[in-house]
Amino acid sequence: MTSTTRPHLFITFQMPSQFIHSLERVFDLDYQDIPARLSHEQILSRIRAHTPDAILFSGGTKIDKEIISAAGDKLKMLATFSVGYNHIDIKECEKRGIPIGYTPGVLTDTTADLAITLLLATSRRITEAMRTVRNGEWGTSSNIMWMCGKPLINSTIGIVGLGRIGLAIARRLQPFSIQRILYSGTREKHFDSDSDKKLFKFVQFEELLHESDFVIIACALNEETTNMFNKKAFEQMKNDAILINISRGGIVDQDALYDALKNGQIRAAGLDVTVPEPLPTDHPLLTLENCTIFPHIGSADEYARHQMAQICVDNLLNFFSGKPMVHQLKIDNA
Amino acid sequence: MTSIIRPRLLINNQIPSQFIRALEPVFDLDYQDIATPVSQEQILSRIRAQPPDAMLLFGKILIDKELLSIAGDKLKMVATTSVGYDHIDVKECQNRGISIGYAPGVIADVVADLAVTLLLVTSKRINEAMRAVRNGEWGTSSDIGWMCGKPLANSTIGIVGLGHIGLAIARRLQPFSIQRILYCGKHEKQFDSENDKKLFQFVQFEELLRLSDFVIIACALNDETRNMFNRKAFEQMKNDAILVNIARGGIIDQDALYDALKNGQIQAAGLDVTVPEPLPTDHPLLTLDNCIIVPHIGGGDLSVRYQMIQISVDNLLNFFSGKPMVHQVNLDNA
Repeated sequence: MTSTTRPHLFITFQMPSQFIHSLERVFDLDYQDIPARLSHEQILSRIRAHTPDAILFSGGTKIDKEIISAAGDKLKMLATFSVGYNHIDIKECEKRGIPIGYTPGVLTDTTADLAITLLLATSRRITEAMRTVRNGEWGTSSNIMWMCGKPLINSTIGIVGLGRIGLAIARRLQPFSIQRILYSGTREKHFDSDSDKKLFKFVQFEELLHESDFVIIACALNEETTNMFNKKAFEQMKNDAILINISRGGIVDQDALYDALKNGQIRAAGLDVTVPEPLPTDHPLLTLENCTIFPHIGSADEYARHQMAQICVDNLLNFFSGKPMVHQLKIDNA
Repeated sequence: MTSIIRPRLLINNQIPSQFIRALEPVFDLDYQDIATPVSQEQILSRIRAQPPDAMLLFGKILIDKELLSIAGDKLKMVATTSVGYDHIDVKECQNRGISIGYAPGVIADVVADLAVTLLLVTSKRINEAMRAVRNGEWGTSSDIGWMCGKPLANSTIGIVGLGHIGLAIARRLQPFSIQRILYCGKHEKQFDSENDKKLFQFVQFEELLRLSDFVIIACALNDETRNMFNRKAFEQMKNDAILVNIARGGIIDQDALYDALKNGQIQAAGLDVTVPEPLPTDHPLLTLDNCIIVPHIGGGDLSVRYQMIQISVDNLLNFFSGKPMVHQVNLDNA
């Protein structure tokens, strides 16, 4: 009697049990319900021990040639718990015919919310402000300049990459009495309303750097955008500009950023993403008052995360029952 | 020969010299060009030594019965550089025929920006998040629920006091995919657009407490609103509600707030204002992870500060040349 072999799914991170139950009905799971992160080596040994048909992993896990080769021909599909895919060797997947499911759309709102949080926290110097409450500095100065921030009113916003997230950020900034929104990227967007036509302006990257009071990085990390924010870029920015990165750390040359912040070439930076993640606790950027760093919490709310998890589950269940994924990465565009 | 007696003006804080130059031609100044705050006692001694005709006020000096008795009949006018005047005994001023100038209309945008900042940093737990970056906790968990915050999408906002500032806050929250805005106060507002009629709902205080995911205090401090947020109020709020106060510390019973936060009666609070200010560094509220406190930086914008001082200078110059103030507190309504 032949037994039906269920596909084998390796899950590298911890998920709420309802999603595990959904997957258990179809897959044999290689899953440990503990929050500890798996290292590259641990992932390789688990794959070698029990070759998966599919792997479900998060944005923090590198799926490189070594891992893909270790999985060999048995690996049929990859499911990433992220909208970014810079951590995946796309070319290798294409060569081996491995399709990739991902989770666009459902984290747009929450990531845009976090971008605004980071922008406001940085421009209003929240870290410094909170500290003065704890260390007794509050109340010792009557200088009217004390703890003044950089206002949004009448400012020029520059958004690098006006995709879903970039546009959601732009919409959230509109009521703050900003003057205009410049954006750069691969192509100009078409706006229908007259007020949008007046508000948004498509410009070259250099002009955006030159003119913006707040620069927000919202583009994908790829070969063109790696280290795009280098020494030359910081030289072109305004001295009182604030830089916000909610995209990928690799878009910013961190040494150049450190120098720019230290030397007053730009006013301040707020980062939700770094290289590496986590950032080492002795990293020079952590010594700067004018650098605010969050631990990659862009999509960190239960609602968004549950929706992302559901898409991952549906991507996997659909693929293994011969149906189209909910969201499959189109490799030609990637 | 008679000499013209110029009115004496006591200024209790360091101000930019352009304003001193504007006042010097008209007033004899009692002014100290130093950056340390002056205490209530020091002000009382200065008043005893040289009774002023007018005062230009910053910060926390109380214009109470004691000060007004010491100042005696000579004091004709008080110009506060703030929009709030809860630090002034308005009835006593009315009895003594003392006019009060204040500075409304300029600060709404920058305070609303800070209100939204506080709401976002509190709901996204950025104090804990930034600590995790510094202490190495970042990267130790693969749980998709790690550092998750409370989403704004589909939420009910409750604004206590929909004045200039309250409305500016509401406008800033609109693009965050919120569901609706409840508000309470003395009167219902008239909205023109259909969108606004659907978005805003005037309710009683208790209903706002019961139904809101985010409660924002934006009303004035007076006899009706003092300690309005007491034990009973916290009992009525949702267990996962977030409270934001950018108005005045006295609107909240801080002991009740401490208990509510400690016992999970509400999820978290973000405060720009406390009792007293500054808050003592050993205050129990500072021991709570779910309480974020910033040092009254709502007006922390240099240009706005300048504008408010200018209004106060104009109030003084106008009053002492027999002209109407730019903005005078209406003692009958106050």
